[in-house]
Amino acid sequence: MKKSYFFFIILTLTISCNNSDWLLYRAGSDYFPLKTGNWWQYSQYGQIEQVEVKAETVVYGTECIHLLRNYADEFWKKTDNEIRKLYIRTVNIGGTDFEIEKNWLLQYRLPLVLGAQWAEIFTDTVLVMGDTFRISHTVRRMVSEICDVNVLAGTFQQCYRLDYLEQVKINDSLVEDYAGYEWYAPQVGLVKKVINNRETLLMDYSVKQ
Amino acid sequence: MLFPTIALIFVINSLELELKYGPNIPMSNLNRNYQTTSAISSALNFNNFQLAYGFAKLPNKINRQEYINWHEIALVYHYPFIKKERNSMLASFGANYNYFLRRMLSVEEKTYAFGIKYGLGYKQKFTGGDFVDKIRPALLARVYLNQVIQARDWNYNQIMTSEFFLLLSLGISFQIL
Repeated sequence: MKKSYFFFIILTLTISCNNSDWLLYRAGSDYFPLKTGNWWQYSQYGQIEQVEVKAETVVYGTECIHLLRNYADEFWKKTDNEIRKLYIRTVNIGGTDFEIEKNWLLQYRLPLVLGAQWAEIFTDTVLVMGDTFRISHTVRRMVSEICDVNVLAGTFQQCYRLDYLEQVKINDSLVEDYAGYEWYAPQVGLVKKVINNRETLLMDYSVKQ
Repeated sequence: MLFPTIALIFVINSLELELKYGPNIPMSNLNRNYQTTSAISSALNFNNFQLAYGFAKLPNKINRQEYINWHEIALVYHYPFIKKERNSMLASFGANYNYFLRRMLSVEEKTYAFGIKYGLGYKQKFTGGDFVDKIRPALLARVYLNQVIQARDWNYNQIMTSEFFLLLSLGISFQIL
């Protein structure tokens, strides 16, 4: 009986090793490690994009994360359930900039789970110097696949692929239109994106957990 | 292989029913996002062998809309390394088959994974009248480490990722056959 029992254990261990769905690994991983000092370097159609988490700060009374993307400021807010990004959009009239959009738009719902989808639409009507601006800003994402991704920085396993759509309309005219895919790796963050058929690949990174 | 083994155990020994309850503590990577929770399990004991079922619901620490349901079927061998008339200390080793369902609102991920269980147990038997002698009740305390194996690198023959759960439980057992 003991022989058969140990044979059974060996058999189960052998079979177990075929399992490649690391649900628990994904569930325990941070796909957005936005800690101060973390940086990522991307190859973006022949150019280099540098992204760095500069510091935690307060903007418009909101605690957020100051991020530099090619030395341009971005502000992100990561809470328990979601990640939002600050958008400030201006129009220039008579040499003066007027804000027509200022909001923390939802980017990601956390945690990432296959099949999850979300969207947020910001709409507003602003009167500037007698001109009316109707703005509509939409961000949609859907977690569509779990896969391995091979990029310049290496091979990343258990990545989530997100389908992405972002549109900005001012007075019903489409002024910005982005569609594509993003791949996020556990404990690393964004490793690849293809937006409007233009590919961005992770080249190097430094991430503290 | 599983079913002949179980059948073999069935024909040999007396049968005990065991019910246990206690904390299931996610460890390693999982500890970051998931809370300790209660696990309930029931088992059939055939002398030193045990066929057990366990369940726990692990809530996400930060987002209560997300949780993992854990179901387990385990075959465990308990070796009584200290055995006295009324109590014994047991070393346990076994294999289990786990089903994990991760759910957030209406979406879910699920997976099956084999694992290894090892641990220690203490069993205190009660004695008394005819009825007590017939059902042979016992108090149980067990500590298990459950290693869920998720993948192996075939090139190097190494386990690539495992997640660990520490299970503590108190329970009772009765002889039913």
